[in-house]
Amino acid sequence: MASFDQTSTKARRPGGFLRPRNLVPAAFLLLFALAPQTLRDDYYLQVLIMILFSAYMASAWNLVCGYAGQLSLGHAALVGIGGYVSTLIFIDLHLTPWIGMFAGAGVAVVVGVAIGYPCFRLRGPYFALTTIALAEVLRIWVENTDKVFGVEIKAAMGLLIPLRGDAPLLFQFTDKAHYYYVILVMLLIVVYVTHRMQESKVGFYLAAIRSDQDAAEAIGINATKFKLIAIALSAFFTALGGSYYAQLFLYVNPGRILGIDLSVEMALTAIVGGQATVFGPVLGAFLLTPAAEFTRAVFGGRYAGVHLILYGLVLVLAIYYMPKGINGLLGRWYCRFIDRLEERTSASTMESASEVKHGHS
Amino acid sequence: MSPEILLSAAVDGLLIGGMYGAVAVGLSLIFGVLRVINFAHGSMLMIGMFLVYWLWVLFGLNPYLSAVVAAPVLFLLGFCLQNYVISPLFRRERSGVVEPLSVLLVTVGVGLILDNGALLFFGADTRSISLPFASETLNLGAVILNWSRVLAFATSVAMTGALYLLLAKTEMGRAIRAVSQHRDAAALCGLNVYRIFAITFGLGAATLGVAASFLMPFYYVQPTVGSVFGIKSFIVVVLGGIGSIPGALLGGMIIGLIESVGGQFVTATSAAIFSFLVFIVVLLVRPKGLFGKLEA
Amino acid sequence: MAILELKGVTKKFGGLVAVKALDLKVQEGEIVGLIGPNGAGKTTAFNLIACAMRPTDGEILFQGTDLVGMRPFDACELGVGRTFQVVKPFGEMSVLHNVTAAAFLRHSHRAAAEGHARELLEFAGFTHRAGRNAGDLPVADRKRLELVRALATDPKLLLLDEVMAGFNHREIDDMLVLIRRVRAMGITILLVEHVMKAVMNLCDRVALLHHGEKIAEGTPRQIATDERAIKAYLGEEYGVATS
Repeated sequence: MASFDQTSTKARRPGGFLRPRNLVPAAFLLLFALAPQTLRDDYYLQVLIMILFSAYMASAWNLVCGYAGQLSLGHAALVGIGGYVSTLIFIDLHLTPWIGMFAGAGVAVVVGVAIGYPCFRLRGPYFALTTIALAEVLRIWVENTDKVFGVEIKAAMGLLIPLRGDAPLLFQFTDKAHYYYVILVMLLIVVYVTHRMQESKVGFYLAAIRSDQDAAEAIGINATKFKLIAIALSAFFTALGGSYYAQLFLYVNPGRILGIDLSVEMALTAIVGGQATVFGPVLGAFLLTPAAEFTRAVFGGRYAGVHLILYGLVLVLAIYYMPKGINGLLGRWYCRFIDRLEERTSASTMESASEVKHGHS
Repeated sequence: MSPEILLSAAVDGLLIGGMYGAVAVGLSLIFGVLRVINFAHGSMLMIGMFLVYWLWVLFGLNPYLSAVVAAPVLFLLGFCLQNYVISPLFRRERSGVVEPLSVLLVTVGVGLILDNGALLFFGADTRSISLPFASETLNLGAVILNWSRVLAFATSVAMTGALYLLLAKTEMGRAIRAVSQHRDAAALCGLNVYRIFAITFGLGAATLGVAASFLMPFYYVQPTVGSVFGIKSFIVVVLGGIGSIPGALLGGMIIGLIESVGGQFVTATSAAIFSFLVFIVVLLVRPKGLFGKLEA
Repeated sequence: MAILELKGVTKKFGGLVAVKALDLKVQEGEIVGLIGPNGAGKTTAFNLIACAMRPTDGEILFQGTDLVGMRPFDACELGVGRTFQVVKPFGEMSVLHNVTAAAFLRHSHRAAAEGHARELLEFAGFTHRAGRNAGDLPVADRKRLELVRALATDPKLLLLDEVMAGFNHREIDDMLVLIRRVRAMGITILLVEHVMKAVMNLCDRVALLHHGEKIAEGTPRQIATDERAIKAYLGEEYGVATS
């Protein structure tokens, strides 16, 4: 599958767990775990949080759009559902967002499947246009609605989440580092889920579907069913991300959380990073989000959308020069790097040269 | 709700709808001939509108006359966009190197660059042109019409008609139609397919130049205008039928009508929901739209 | 009971009748050939049996169950496997993964599916290509992959659509061997083929289609000497050569 992922069931190599291929990622993990302790400035921690958040959202998007091959430019609708549901449950039912977020995820799954079922048969660009239309309908409706079934959603003004100070059980922290760890764990979970899915029957089926749907059906694959599985998965994680966003900023409003800008950013990050790969969206986030922060810092608040020029440029360049995304480019280097490390560390054993079948399966 | 107000709204909607149609007609052409979903369509209109605005502010050029400048400039913009940015991707797609949908994504990128470039250089302020006669009205009994809108509608119809005739009667039009029906067969007949692509794209963009010059007298411009018109154009094209020139005009008028009449019952911004719903329903139920030859 | 029975199957595309009242019986374990000039309706018949299309009229009974109205993946689940005339490999995936994907129909776990896939690649003499990207394969290998992939779904009936098109003699012989080995596994085969050498050597029975209708049916020998067959398709020379 993707070149970054060391897949296929090979015979277990002797040497156990402590091989470069496991140690290098572990080192990265350690780096991320320790980051908040070493970063002195709260600003950099905030940037890192936004990078991880962007990586998480792009990964959630990737679950259906990359893997099932259906380009969605309306995922913000699912983000907004997550954010609004968990917030409303907190404000009106006084239930902690830790529970509310799963309710939001549940709603999003239902909505996602309900939309996917009739719309998946639309071909690529038309599906994309439909997702834009649906997300815009939701946004416009929320923006113009003060109350629905007696519940206040305050239209364009948005909802402020009541401050509770440092209240971990209510998903509010005064120390930014805690927000960091939450999103780090969420990201690890979604990356792991993506990896497991990719290597499983679902992953294979989705790969077949996006390669050639007719051929996939001829080998027994119910394309619609598996695309719905993908969108259910994606909607679930996307909505959780929306709830996180709400708790991070303690504010939700339709313009941002249901806006097309957010949808496009999620899509872009995953595409530039590498669709249908486990780490593509993460790489995309690490490229684009710091760039966005940097342009924001340089151009100040006066020019709100300037980082989008950068995004647009990166997108065009990526389509041209990196059709498989950053992951396609870096994946090979990474594999070769790991191979070389492993050759050096087990140069004495015979196994080193023989069964190495890597990545490009 | 008095019938006069409703009637006024309806007529107004039809007039501005004609304008939507004029804006969408270029998209329908590009869509129909190149099968390219041009997400930068609205952005190009916005550029055209800024061009008309600056010609007015800097040179005092009457917007109606600046069509003569705007159309060729936008033709060039479209031509170059197709020739240097999109066609190379077509070539790559043929050899299977590039994913499908990459052209769509590239136009998304171009749209982002244009929209936010305009934001950077022109700022977020709304600009508009006020011409003395433009606010004068034409009274037809119970219905009061704004002259500039009437003119815009008339131009829309004229331009759509001209485009239709160009496609139906001229040599170039025939070539374009041939390419839209079967690119390889057209190439085998000796047509320079890539050049025709570029010309078609340029033509689609040029219509935006004309539309821009007739929109400015009664509309306004700011960088976000692009996405508003862009999305509306897609709705209109799908409703009217991809590749159908008269369909685009009619589709535009229907959308304009829906929004204007709808806007009497709900807020103006909410009325946009109706158009989106129509769009979704058409795509799911009758993808060909009203007059479309191509399947969505 | 015949494993496959077509009763009065008709398919119209607007005014065009692609398949007209086709009656066909295939017994278990047979290799039946469908021949005929281009446009005779052979691939359409395949599409109908594999449920890629719905017949305008008629019944398609597979092991007694009417397939009409089912979707392709349902038919596959019941045991109908097929290849496509214009091959459809999963280009971005390796040969092994192509076959593994198909194996997942009967084996839910990755290890089992991949194991089954490897066995089949071994069976088809294809193991040396396991790691290659399907999109990089030459045509003969792609057709072989298409067949192995269909086999991975454990079909009881295999529909082979021009699986030897464009092959040279060596490749044809290799494929003949493979197909015979598939039959030896107990799989019934229905094949569309233009390569007469293959049809005559392989098939127990042959049906000739022309303009959507079956105009002759019998053993290869019978067909080769049948006046109508010679006139419609085989040509004088070939008819004479085998008699």
